[in-house]
Amino acid sequence: MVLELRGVSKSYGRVRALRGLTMSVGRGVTGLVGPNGAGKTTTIKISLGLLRADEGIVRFFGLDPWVDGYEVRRRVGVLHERPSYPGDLTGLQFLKYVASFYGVRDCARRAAEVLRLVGLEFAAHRPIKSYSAGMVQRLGIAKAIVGEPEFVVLDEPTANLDPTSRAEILDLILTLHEDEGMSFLISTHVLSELERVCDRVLVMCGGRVVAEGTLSELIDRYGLAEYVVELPEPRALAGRLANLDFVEEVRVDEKRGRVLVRARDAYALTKAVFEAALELNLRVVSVRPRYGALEQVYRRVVGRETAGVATGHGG
Amino acid sequence: MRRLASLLDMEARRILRFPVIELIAALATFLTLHWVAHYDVYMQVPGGVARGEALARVLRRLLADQSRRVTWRGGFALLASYEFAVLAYVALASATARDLSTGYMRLLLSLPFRRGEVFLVRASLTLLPPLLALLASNAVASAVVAHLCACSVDPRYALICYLPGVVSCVYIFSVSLSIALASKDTVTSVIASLLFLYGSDFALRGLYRSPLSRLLPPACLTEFAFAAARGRVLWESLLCPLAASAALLTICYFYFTRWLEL
Repeated sequence: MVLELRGVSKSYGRVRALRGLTMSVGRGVTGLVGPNGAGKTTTIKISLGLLRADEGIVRFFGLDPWVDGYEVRRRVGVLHERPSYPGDLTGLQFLKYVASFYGVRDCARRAAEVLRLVGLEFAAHRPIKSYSAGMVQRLGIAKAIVGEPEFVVLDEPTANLDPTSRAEILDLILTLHEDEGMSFLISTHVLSELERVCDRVLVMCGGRVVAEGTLSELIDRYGLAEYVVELPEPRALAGRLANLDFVEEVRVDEKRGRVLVRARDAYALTKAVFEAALELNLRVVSVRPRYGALEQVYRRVVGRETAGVATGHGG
Repeated sequence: MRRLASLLDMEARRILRFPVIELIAALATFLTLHWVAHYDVYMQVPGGVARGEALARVLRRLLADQSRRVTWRGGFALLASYEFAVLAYVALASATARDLSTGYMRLLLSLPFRRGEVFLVRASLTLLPPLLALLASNAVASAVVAHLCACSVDPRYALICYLPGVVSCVYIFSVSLSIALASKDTVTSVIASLLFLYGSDFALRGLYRSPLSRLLPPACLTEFAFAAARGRVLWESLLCPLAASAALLTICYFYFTRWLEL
């Protein structure tokens, strides 16, 4: 494992950000998701030696980042949430400096190459203070990878980016992982992004990891729960589906012409929908999961946890 | 070393820019002109000089054989620059407070440097520019006046005269930096530093005739300079500001490297 946290706790005054957090991150692309205040950024800061854990053990490349932070940071590139950069420097100048900090041989070449990778070569000679929010975000990603680190930590990498730019950045992450062997830990709220790039996902809630595994493991464990069936006559279908044993809940949205179904078995549901459509002569437009696969897992896991906390059963 | 030089270069370009470097340059220029213009005050030229006499002729006549006195008085010129040092150091130290509040320090401490290295670079860039500007402006002013008076400067005396200025800078720097690290906020850092630096002097002056009244700069440094002008070197006058500076800088270093959380 590259990063390991065991029983880590951290409080800010009376607020407990982490509660005995135990997690491990290996090579590959790992996603870290969770609601606001789940402790994701605190976890990242503790992992980088920017914060000290109140209790517990933290090991990054086998080293304690609070004690051996220098050794850890030599091998890790970071994009922080809401980063701040030297505004008077140009993007190229800044990246040349960062490359030299990591001991890169040809800093100018590497800086220009990374600017091209993140699509900022057109602004290479402009001062950073003239960059838009999206450009600053791209620069942050460039800064995280310019030192050719083994491991890259990205906190909200696609914040402030338009959909096209998001897709480009995700493609870049995949390329860097596959071609250059870089590993990533990505903290984000945009779950569909993680589905595209992550080998493994950690779901945090209330300062601890409440679910983890590969995407398929999580889907198997927590199931695809909610589906939308679109058709002009939703009520007729809803009456038929409500009696099936694998269906937990059926709701009709006549205004939008759809049936919302909570079911345990996706295959059986699809089959039942089309059988009913043939039998009742209904025109089914589509059957699809209501949310993305990871979002369904996330909603179930986090929903269960927050409900547990609300009723006093949470950890 | 190459990494540290790169960091120093990047931080110098970032910190020593408009308006900080312009403020320091303007203050240093003003000080130089002030010292040259008021040579009679700082060099204790006796009254009764005939009007209309050329500056050079007056100075030569009055001070030609008093090279040591010229150098001694240089110390008073450095003391007059207390305000200069306060303004410059408070402005520079507030940059550290701003970097702590905006997240820039988090960026620096996520780069492959030891915390001690980052502290060293930031402290150097805060301490050295005003100190060098102050010494340079005094050297220029002294050189101009000494040239006009045809005086030479004894290096030993020059060293003693410059000491109060250096100690003054180190003291103000350590206080401003400590407050900046503690407050982590630009406005709070500026206000608290000014309040402390002027408030402590004002409060101690209230203890008239007590030795405590000359415990901290600028009072203790004035005492040093006056004694030096009379041919005595009061090393003990420098002890308290030096001890306070050393203590504050040690605390700052350990706080920054061992306890600072971002």
